[in-house]
Amino acid sequence: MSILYFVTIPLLASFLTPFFKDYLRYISVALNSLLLVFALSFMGDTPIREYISFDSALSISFVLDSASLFFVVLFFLIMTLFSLYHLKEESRKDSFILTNMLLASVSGLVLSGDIFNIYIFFEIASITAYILTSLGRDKKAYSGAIRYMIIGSFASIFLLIAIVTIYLNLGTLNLLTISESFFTISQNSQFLIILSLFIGFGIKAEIFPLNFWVVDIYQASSNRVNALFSAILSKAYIFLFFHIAYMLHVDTKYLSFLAVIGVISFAVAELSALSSKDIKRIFAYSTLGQIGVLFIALSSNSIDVISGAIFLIAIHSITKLMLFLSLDILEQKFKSTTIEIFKNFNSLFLVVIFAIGFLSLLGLPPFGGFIAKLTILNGLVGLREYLFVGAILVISLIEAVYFFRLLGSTRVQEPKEDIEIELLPKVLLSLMAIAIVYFGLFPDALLDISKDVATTLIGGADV
Amino acid sequence: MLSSFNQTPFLHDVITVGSLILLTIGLVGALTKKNLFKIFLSLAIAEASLFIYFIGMHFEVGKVAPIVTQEVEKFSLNMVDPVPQAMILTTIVIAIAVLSLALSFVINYFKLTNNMRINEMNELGEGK
Repeated sequence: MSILYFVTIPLLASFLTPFFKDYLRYISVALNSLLLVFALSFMGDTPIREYISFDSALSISFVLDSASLFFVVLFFLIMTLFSLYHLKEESRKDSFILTNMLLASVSGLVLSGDIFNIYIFFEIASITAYILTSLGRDKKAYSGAIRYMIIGSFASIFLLIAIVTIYLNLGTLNLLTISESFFTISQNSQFLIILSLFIGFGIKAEIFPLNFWVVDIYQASSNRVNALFSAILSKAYIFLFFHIAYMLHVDTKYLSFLAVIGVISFAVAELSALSSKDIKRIFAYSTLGQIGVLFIALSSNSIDVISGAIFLIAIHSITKLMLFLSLDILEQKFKSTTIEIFKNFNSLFLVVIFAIGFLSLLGLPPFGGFIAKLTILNGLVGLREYLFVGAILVISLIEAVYFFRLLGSTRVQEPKEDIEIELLPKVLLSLMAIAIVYFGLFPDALLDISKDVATTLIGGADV
Repeated sequence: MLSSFNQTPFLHDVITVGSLILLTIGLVGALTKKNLFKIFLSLAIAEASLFIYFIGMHFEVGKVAPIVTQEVEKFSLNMVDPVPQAMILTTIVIAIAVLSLALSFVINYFKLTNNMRINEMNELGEGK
């Protein structure tokens, strides 16, 4: 079995769409769960390195280590849940094609061991994301898609500058070779490469000050698309950002710069969320805030802290998938996403789901988010980074204000409308909620995996 | 005297300066222009400057394009590095795809709103 199937099977499926006719939703579930099982079967066999083509200097390499395997499994898990959620609905050709292309490109992004291939998958993922944003086909959707394209083009130009500079200096595109000889490049070129990579991947990883566009895009896209953006796409770029940063052995001064930027990102996002009146925008700000925390943790260069961050990535993906899908149920009923709709619905089930999601994002026990933040804070205390510990705690209080305000507004005595939720979405949302509680109570297995992933991520080049 | 212009270092300098100017034109245009078509055109110019720079920096006087023909084998000519050419060819194809997608979005947006200026795109934001 080849690891290339993670990229080729979803791509092939999207090309074969016309033959599947009305069975798309079944095919989609079968395909994603099959790929999930296939990915799980690689556990314990890592690392695997595969080459396509003729000559070792020019060959295209794909690397499956425990870090990229973790992300591939996470993406297929999210996609399996996502496609199961659509099982009872009408098959849609466009979303089938686009979700498969998204899946192929994010697996390519995390598996690729070659910087030019990363650029190609980066572009495929971007194009897919632009079209996913425009799926609403109204002026909001097109306005969002156009903004996304302009900012995305800047990202790809800067990534291309980095690749061109690397090739001119080293004459290779293979990440492993680049990692071994990166220190031989002159200081000025190193700075240019790191700066361009920071802008290129920073825009896509949604980090301050390059994330001003994100909230508008989330507002323009549908909730289901946002679930994919938040749970899959941004996670792939964050992995890539730090994978390359640790591969290039960048100086610690750059890493501490990233941590500071993470704090600013977290603070700005949570403060903006306070004054927001639209739930989609609030969730988007909350995603940006979590990305800030991830940046603080991932740039620490310590296995303990990074394993907390990996744990947080897994929990946050499941939580945001759950929250956006629940919000989608509300939006279908009320045709709006302002915070007013939280006062008008009558469904204990949804209130519980939202409560579990919010409390886990805040990092309160007994939910998964608690263990993640605890591990991160413990690790940071061990590193004597008390400033970051204080910042995370204080800013989490701001986060608590708007989440509790949202939850409180469900208790307001106003005329309420009953919400009918079908069995399948109910089961799936409960499953996700149970998973969040489960990992909060029994975190050991996932923590061990996270530690393994963190070791691989830092050791990057040694694999 | 003219032969000094036909030296690799001189040509590389010309290409560096020229593509830097193009890159600046592209990036400044993308940041300052208000018309959506002009913004995407500027971004295309910025990308083109990188293509020219990358191919140009691997050009050397006396070497031929990396295509194996009978003449190349007969006279054992030197070829330039083929990797940048293959890379840029791929990148051009991607750039065309992205640009055409962008233009289709602009056309659709114009049909719906009769507006093509980025500073008048006010569909998104707080309370919209």
